[in-house]
Amino acid sequence: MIIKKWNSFLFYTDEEEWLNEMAAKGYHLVKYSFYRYHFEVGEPGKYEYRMELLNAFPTSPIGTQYIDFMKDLGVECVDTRGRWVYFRRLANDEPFDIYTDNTSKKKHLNRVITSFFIFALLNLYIMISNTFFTNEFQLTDYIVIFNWIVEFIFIYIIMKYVKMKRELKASGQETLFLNK
Amino acid sequence: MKHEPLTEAVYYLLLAFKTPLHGYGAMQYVEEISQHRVKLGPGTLYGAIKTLVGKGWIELVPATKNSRRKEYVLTEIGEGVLQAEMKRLEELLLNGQKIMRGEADDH
Repeated sequence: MIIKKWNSFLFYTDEEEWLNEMAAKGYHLVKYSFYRYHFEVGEPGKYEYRMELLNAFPTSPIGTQYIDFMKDLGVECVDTRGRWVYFRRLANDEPFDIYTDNTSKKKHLNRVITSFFIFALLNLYIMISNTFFTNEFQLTDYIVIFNWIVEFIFIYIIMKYVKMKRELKASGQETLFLNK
Repeated sequence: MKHEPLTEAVYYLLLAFKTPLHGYGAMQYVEEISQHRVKLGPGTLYGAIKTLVGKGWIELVPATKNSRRKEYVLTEIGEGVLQAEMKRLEELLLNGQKIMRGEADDH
């Protein structure tokens, strides 16, 4: 049986947490389509979910190579959203972490920060062009207000991710390669 | 050629590729040989293999190039890196033992 739920998140970490809470209750994500999450009803706690932003599109050669590699390690790609991938693995005693070293964790967060930074720049560009160049319609005034709100949300998101990066706990593995 | 010290994860990973092995096998090998002390997440392992191939320390087994389960094996350079690291570790161990036994009186 499939149940569908609407939801949206500012932070992927919250989304991940929610997906794992759902999985613990026996609702396992099988599909994502435009803020709608499709869950298959099954055994509670069967899967653990993790999200990852790839540096390429999941359908590109680099993306499929990575997803194939993950599959070989028992990590299944459930669905994708842009460059984001929803991964899951059968739950066991070990925590499911895609990255075990801090260098890789930081790299991933940097990727997330960069993607929001690009959105923030695009929004800023639209805001500036609406403010200075096309002022004949009143409508643009409202768009500019909307742009301001969106810009502040993006800045808030970026700042939170930067904070997350700083607060990465010292793990057993700081880095794999000392001379890098 | 002077080598940087290796982390335990990379040291064990190189040992894993002494004979041709795929990613899943390497992950299990590292965990077992370190008695579950060293764990590699799948993403971390993927990055490590890519870096090791980039450095020329391991290489793709040509026969598995188009297979979904790619296998990798230690290269000559990689073997040299391992030998150099073993020598360094041996020095550390021998010096430690000598001093802790009180044999060294020249300090």
